Amino acid sequence: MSKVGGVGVPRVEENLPPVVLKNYGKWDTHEIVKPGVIKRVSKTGDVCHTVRTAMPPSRISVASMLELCDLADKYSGGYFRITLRHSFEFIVVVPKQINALIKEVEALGFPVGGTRNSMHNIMACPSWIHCNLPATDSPSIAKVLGDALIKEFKNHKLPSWLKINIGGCANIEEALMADIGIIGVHRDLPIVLEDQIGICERPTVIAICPTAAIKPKGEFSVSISAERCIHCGACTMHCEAILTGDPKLDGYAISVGGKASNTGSGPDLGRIVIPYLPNNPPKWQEAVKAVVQIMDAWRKDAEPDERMREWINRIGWDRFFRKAGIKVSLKDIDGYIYGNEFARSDLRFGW
Amino acid sequence: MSDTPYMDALSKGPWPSHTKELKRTRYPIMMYEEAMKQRLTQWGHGGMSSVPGLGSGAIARKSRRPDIISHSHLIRVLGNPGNFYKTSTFRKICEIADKYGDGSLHMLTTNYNIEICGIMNDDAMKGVTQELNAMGYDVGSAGDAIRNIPDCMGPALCEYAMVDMPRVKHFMTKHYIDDIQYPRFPFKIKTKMSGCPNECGKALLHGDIGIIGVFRDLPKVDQKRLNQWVKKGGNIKWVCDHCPTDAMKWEKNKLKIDGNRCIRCMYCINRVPAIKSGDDKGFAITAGGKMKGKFGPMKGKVIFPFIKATPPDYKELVQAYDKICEIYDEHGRKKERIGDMMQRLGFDKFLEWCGVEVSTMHFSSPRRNTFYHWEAEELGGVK
Repeated sequence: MSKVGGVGVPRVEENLPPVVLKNYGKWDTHEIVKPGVIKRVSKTGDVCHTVRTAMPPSRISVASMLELCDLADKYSGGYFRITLRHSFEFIVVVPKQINALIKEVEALGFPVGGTRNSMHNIMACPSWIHCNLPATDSPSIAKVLGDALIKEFKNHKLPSWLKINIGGCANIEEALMADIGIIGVHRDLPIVLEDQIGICERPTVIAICPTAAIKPKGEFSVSISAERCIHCGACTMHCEAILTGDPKLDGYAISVGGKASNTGSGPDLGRIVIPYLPNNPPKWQEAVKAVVQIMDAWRKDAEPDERMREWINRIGWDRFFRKAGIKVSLKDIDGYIYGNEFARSDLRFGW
Repeated sequence: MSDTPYMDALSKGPWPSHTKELKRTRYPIMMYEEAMKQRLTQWGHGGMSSVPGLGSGAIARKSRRPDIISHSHLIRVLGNPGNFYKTSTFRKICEIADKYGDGSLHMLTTNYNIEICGIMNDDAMKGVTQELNAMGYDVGSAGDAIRNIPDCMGPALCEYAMVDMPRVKHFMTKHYIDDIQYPRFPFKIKTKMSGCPNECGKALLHGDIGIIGVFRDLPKVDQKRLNQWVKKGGNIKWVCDHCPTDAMKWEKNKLKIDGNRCIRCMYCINRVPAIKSGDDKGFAITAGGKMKGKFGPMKGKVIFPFIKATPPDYKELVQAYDKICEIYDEHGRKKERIGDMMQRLGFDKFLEWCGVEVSTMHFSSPRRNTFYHWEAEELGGVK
């Protein structure tokens, strides 16, 4: 590989508070002081308190970021961290000042919480804010879900942690990796703009379709078969002249049981349990109802420290659907390429 | 009556509101309001656009509503190792975002970049890039390139980290900066890194190539500390009961971990401070995790179960990473992710090309069909 250059990223040492740098690799234990506040203890005896807040889904203004920076200057020596779930974390807060910090940051509109057995920060893509592909609007769903579940964010009363990810279309990778995921689904047949299709590479567009629904038409154009289309959105992503999205038909599906950790039954992707719910801004009442329903069933039935997936593995999918009050339909049967693997090949029914 | 009833409705409530944030910027709010009103996105096709003088880094976005705004681009800034930030430098990023963009940031993207949004022209893109470069930051991570390589906080703040991921990230970004900035692959390569099998970085599920810190020997138990922990009310019995492979036994105030049963899943290490990971630590490399693509969502597959690599050059890690990229570059079809390519060509072939010695670490179960492919040499020349 020839090297052209480029700056890369700053060294990690440049952005670490002195205490953290001193104890790099020497951390020993951590405990949750209260929801949102983590105390990390080093082998050297040093202590680091972090305070975690929720972040607005997808977009944040520079003005708000600067306000958070001001607080970081005041309380955490000018250092902060964005967690892997996009929460904002003040690092190395003096224990005496934690309550003052929580008061100030919550006054700014950023609730503190999201640690241990609570609902963690909700991740969402930009969707309608700045994207051409989405079938649904993930930031506003995240916002209404956050409002509805704010209590779970600020206390530790769930059996284990609950992670909710939202993706506006099938392209977003996060949704299936969360305990509860929401994924935008298209149901309309993509439209081919005949006057513009010439700008797309026809072989690519035809090859990209997983079900061979796209066929050449005429000299330049393509046709899409309604029978074969599975609404994956691959063609719209790669060709400017194929559009998808219909206000009356678009919506979202709900998945449960994604898990990345190797503990318990190991990492697995979530499974779709509700195939379609309609878009209903700005209240998204169907989404809130479905998520609360699934969460409540889990909370009522799970053992302590049992993630959504472990709970489902213990009770089986039969009982999950019954306990969560979700109706099963033919759409729950996977008819796609690996589908047969998910069919039942045992007689261990959960009557 | 406000002209943005939908956004107003979403501005209330205790959760941080994106609409409130958008209203504090120069983002064309009518685009979002109209989208909610019509229940259809108002943005048009986007694509990877190049920053003048650079291969990638910017996402171009057309608008379907030229009466509101004609277009709006955004630039991806590669996130810091461990996502640690200093306010003094972050304020400068904010300043740049305010000066060249519409004053909104995406903190963070699913690949842990910071997006500076609402950039309107080439000069601004160039300006952003130059100013960021001057302060040691870089842009990239768009198009059919290696995307940003996010990591967990690693040993900087976490006691479980097996390997020094923030420093690996710094090294990898420097080493592959050309491939991050100049797209040359059939499709994107998302690389994710996690410091331990707890997988906060979701490397196995999420990454076209996942790099995960693992350990091989048994977890270490500090019996004295464990007894103190039990005396203070730690429930060791409960942890033993919940070990996924029943490898733990608590007898006569002593904990025994059965080496024939332990699968190094981190469960006990997460729960009991007196149990730490073993000393034989290294990297595992997986490939093929993805969500969309031709064959739908897939989990990653283990390619290199254990690699020892040490700074400063992480030779073995780079070799393994290069190998997977090379195979993808050579055999991948246009717009085909690594996972799809494996599915099309066969995982056995992929492993063969990778040149790994196949072991039981490479499958969850052996195959159940006999449809092998035999090479002529394997048949002793008989055809």
